[in-house]
Amino acid sequence: MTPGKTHDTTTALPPHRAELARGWRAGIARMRFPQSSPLEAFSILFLIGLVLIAAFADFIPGLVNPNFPYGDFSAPPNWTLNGLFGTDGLGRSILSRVIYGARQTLIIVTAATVISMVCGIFLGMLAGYFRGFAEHGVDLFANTMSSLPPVLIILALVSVTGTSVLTMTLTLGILDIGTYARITKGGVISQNDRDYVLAARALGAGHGRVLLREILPNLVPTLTAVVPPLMAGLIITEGSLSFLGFGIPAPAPSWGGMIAGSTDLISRFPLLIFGPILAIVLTVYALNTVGDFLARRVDIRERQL
Amino acid sequence: MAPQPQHTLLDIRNLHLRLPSPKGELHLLNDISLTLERGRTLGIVGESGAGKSMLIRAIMGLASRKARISGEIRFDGDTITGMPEARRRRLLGARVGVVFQNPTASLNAFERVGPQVSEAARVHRGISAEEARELAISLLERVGIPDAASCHDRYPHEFSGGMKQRIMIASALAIEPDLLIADEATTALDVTVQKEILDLLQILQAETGMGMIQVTHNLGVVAGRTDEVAVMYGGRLVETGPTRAVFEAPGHQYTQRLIAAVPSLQAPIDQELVSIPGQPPDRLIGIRACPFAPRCAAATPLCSETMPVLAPAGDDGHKAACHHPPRVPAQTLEGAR
Repeated sequence: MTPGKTHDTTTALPPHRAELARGWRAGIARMRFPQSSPLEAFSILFLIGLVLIAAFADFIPGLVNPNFPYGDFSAPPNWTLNGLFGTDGLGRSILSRVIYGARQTLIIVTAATVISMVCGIFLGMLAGYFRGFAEHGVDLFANTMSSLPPVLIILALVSVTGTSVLTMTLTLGILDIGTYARITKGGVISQNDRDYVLAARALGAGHGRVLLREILPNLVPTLTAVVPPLMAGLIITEGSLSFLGFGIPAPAPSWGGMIAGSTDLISRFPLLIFGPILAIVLTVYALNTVGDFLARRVDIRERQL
Repeated sequence: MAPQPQHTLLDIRNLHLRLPSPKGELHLLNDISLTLERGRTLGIVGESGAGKSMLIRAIMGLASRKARISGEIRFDGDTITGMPEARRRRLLGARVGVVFQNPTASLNAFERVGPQVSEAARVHRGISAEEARELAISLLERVGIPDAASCHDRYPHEFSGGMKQRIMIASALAIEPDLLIADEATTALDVTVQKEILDLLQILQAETGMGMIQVTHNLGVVAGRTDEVAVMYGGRLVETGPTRAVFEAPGHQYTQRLIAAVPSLQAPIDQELVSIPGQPPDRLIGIRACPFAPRCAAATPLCSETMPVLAPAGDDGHKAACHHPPRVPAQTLEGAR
């Protein structure tokens, strides 16, 4: 009676090599993005590439400063690095601004996601585990948040606090708390009846241990699948705010701000708008595709369990 | 049997459990009284919905928060009914191990097997990481997992159902329990694995001297492996006593029909399987009559008018709650074992 299929092959090796083999195998399995379609694989690679380019923008050889004019204003695209998307109304490289804008956008959106996940998961676990009053409160909060247009909420907050990267991040972070709380709540309620939670309670685990050690790890797949689409939503919201002039203060590059800046010239220089729009569309598309991919993986897992 | 309170591990007295539901209050457990001596095995049998698992949950304090429980449960002299939740958790968690029905659902799919096995000991004894690892490996070895050291860091999905149940048993043993509760522990497994697991439980019990409760709807599990048996029907205890006495001369019509319903390999191939017609009683109403009366062949008007009480039906504390105890000895279980 052997417990698992991998058992025989690894025990034949000496212990340290068996360890190594298992580590490698797990690593390779992770690299393959199991059962991804070509578009999904492209989306994953695009996002990884985007993060790397944004992170190491300062080290890209030949990339000019996004805030200083680099050549003729409103020049059409050409086959040089800085001129790939052309130049904007002030002669700045659009490619450079798209890349530095990506950095800004990714930092804001990631930080906002961390804020809303932490708060949302905390509230959702309280609501789903203790039910009663906590659940009513969280439901009320989540429903209220989702019934108000996000841009309106942010405009209200930003008009009080003024526009800065920090307030922008915080306000975006508040937006999705309700959504994460609701998903976590549902997950906790469905997990709470399962035998492994009962078994943990039977052996004397307290509320904290049951929630954090038993239930939370089982929610990770579900939560992972909703993060990318919600991040995509934040990118759009952030873009809209910058477009309206309530986003990242100029002259720092931002995708929404670039679109806003080029609308005056759009009838004469339609190509100006091309770079930032392409960046937003591709990123949002990739995030949603990755979200679908993860959701499908979660589904497969659930059925196997 | 003379009462020996110093050896009584579990003592349940007049336990009632009511659960409010939208349709009214459900009477899930009615007037259950049971005792289990240290080192002995008690089998709890009954069909689905008889209240077996609810009884276990009531003992372990895992019943719904809405449930209303009355009566008394004493564990090794301590009254655990009405005890603050945290204290009860510490007391029972450190001394009672539970193995549930479905090993796949009972293991956390996202945690390695080893830490799950040692979890109870980590919670109650605060042992170090290395000690926990050693303990988990020794327990895995003890329940017959080959190559336990390398299994420590695997995930549950890498094991078969029988292996997972062994792992569950290992985790229940981590605190060296005084009482092991197997709640249909073998129901989800195939027959040969069932036997292995039951043998394992018996060996472990002999080694450790712990008391054991076997909850099952399989009479074959109870017949050869328990000292005492309690038959439940409709949330009530209808018969209790030494296993041999109950099987040889059942004192309740339901028990007799239950034993008769066990299929035998010796029976002619075209013989129809015996069943008990009808459905278990509706538990919405607190009934004042014998709960089995509507399905009972021997029922008389008396049965639907007065509730039979547990009365002596033989030697050694054999008791049954039946107005018309069966006279004919039930068929023996030899064929079913």
